[in-house]
Amino acid sequence: MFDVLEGVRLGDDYTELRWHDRTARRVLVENGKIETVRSQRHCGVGVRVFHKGAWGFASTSLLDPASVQAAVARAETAAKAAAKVRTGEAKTLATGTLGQGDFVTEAHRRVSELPFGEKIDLCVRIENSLKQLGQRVTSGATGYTELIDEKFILTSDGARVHLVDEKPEFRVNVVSQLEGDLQSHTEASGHTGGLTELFARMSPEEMAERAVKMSTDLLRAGYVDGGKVQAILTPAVLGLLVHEAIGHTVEADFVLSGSAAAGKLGQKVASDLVTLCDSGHSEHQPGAGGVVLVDDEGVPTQKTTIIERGVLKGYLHNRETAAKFGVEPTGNARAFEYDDVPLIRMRNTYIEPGETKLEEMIADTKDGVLLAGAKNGQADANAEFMFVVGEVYPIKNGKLGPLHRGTTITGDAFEVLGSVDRVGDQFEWDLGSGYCGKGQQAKVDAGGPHVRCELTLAGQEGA
Amino acid sequence: MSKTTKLEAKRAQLDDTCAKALQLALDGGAEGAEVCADYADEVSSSIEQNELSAVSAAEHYAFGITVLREGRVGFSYVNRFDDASLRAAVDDALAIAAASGADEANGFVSPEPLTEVDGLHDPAFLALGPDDAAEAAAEMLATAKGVDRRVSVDGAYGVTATASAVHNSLGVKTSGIESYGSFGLYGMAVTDDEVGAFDHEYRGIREAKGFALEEVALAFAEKVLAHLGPKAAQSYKGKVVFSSDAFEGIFLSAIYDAIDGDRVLKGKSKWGDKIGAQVASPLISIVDDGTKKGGIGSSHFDREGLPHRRFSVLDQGVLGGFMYDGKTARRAGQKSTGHASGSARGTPGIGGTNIDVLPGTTSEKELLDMVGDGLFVGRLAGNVDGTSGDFSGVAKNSFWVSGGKRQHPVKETLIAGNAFALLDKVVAVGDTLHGDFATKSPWVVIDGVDVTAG
Repeated sequence: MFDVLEGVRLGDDYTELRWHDRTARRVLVENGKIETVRSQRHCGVGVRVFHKGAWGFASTSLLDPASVQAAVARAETAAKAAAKVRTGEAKTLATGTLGQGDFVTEAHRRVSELPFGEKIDLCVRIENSLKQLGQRVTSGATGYTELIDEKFILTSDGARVHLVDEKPEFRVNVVSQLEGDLQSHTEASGHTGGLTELFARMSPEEMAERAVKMSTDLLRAGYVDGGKVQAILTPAVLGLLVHEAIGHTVEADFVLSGSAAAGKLGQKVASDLVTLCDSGHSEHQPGAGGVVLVDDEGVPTQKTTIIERGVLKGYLHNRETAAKFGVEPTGNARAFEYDDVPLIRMRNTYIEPGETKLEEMIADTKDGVLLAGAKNGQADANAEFMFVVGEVYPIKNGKLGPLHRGTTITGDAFEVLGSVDRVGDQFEWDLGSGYCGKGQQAKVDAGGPHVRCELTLAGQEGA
Repeated sequence: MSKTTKLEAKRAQLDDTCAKALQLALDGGAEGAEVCADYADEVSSSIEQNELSAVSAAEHYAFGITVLREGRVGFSYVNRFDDASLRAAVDDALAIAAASGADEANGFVSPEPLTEVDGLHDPAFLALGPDDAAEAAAEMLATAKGVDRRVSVDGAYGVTATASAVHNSLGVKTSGIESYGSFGLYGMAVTDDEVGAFDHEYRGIREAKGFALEEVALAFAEKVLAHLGPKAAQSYKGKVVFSSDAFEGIFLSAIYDAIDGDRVLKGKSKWGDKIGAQVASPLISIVDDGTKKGGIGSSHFDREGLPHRRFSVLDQGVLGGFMYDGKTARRAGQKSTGHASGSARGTPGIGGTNIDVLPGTTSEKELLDMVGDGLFVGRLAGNVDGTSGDFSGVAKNSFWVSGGKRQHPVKETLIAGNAFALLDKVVAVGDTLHGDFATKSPWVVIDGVDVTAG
């Protein structure tokens, strides 16, 4: 594809050409029936032109040279229209190191090499087992998704990148019923690589067993009381916290809009025990779901330290914001598909592990909770966050109590990180099946060790 | 060629491509097939970090091919229409069907007469180009910043013209054109020592004269400035005023999960055996109507090419029925209700169209009086479990009410309850409808809600 892209006539402005061929396949089996088996081929070229501080964007799914050339012309026209009415200070793009060559993510065996039928059979086999695993199971589902991406990125100032990446996901959902009450639980895994990486932590059979057990146990579980609590967060819940509540506030576009992290570089924003990073690579453990070797502006990615021992050290940048802040681009410009504009997005966001064992952390907690089963969440630019956890385990006098139903937790993210007084010694990526939404989707991952902190729990007396 | 003529030409091109792909599928061994096609021509602009950031212009094509072979279904999507791409997509769909499993519910719908739906296309939209998009964004930005420099503005403006078509081997053969605009701002107010809560003001329109840029910018600025200076709320269990956004996010979300015919069949609906039963307060009536003139949720036909219709969800609290697409209707032994949703990129799902919660008779002032000292919930940032109805989350854009007035914004305030149980505890429904897209709802006062102050 480089030959078509390199044959396009460019104007004097910075121009970025991104050919992205995505094949997305999905299987969904529910209650013994194959509900969805689909293949989507979404392929085209996205063009960005930077003219006098304003961007123009166009895209085409038609890949002949004339259609790509026409898309460049549309992007140039759009950039000029934006520049005509744009006010504000002059903008430039940071240069930094630009990617050259082939970038291929690692996999024990690529999912694209495996027949689709094997993945359908896997979903059918696991779904068929669900009702045998629990008497109260009324509904079960398994789903498999794979994103197979190939990109060619060419910029007028020298990036020339060929990128190959594969990301599979697998999930099991179970609904159980008791006396009219319905409870559901989902186990999910998402990684960069192949099926070996996908099931490294838990096999599909183990995921099914846990989903059935949790949905059944939740039927008899009670609700916790609301209020401020001392909480131990599992890696998945911590991952949600650092992604939603901190990560978004340090995306440089949000910083420039006035997020809670604006103006705090060099300031103490968290406990000394907290070192928080975002990396395009899979640190500590292989196969993180948000691996990005080169971003969509052609910048090779790196590990970016956001908070070091409690002090805010940096933000996440694209080339435009890097120039504004006078720093190197961090490789965080990402577009989900060819017809999306690259935005500043996280990749794999995590807290570095510490030294405390989980058992010690629990034994050391007089009155608190352990929160597990991260579901979803969101945060405001003022760092006030909320997210949903599926499992709550009270801790009394150092003893872990029985499962309680999930709830919502909230707080000010920086205050919560300031309250961290224990950081565990075991690391885990555990959000790789998730997608981050910011006008468009992005595959991300997040995690870390167990940590103990203070936050607010929503209570409910039951319906 | 005028722009409307060009759009009509795209519609004809989609019809031709659907017919060609359908024949390729049947020639390839499919016993039945459906081809759904979409075309979109978009011009948009975006505001980021208080500046006009970008203008975009893009054309999109989408072709979704479903094949049926020995009771097995395969689906493939492609965004090009040259012969080689279509043939590859058909071959892919046939290969997927071969690897899939048979299901007697697999199949396609038979054609039905379509209802004429007015107000779905305004040629004036097609006259708007990149310069208009840039100027509109600049105007909204300048207006909002002109109210108060503390307002931090992001936003977007867009005009979209679409053509779509559905053909299947049972005789469905339909196509249409539409156009719409969307515009709005989002962000917060920022002072030297405070970042206010995020809020937005967005609208979707079917007539180009509806671009009320100044009105939207002023409303956005007023909203975000009102969130400055939040104070703690008080914990209690009792009456809460839900704004239209909050009622939609919690209660309509749970209701639409409960009436989804697919969820009913799979045992995931709390109301699976409740048709004709009183499931909510008699104060609540909800209508879903995909034929509403100029409705943002209206369209000429559903994802399978069948007509929409006016559908009573709740009539004075009594459950009217479940929503079906073709496949779930076949499974349930029912007829499709015209609720097949989605685009050509995927197989049909089930979804609502234009959703109207009918207004009551109580003024909004009276609603605020009813809660005494209590909470007005702007929206829920949290989770609603559509199966159990349990919800919990942070009350965002919310205010503490006292003496019949919204006194101050609140922070870190959590609400929780069960949506289905609380629908029986509706105290009053407002007389004024709000909502700028496909859903319209009044404010509603509900008793028995758990409020936890952080």
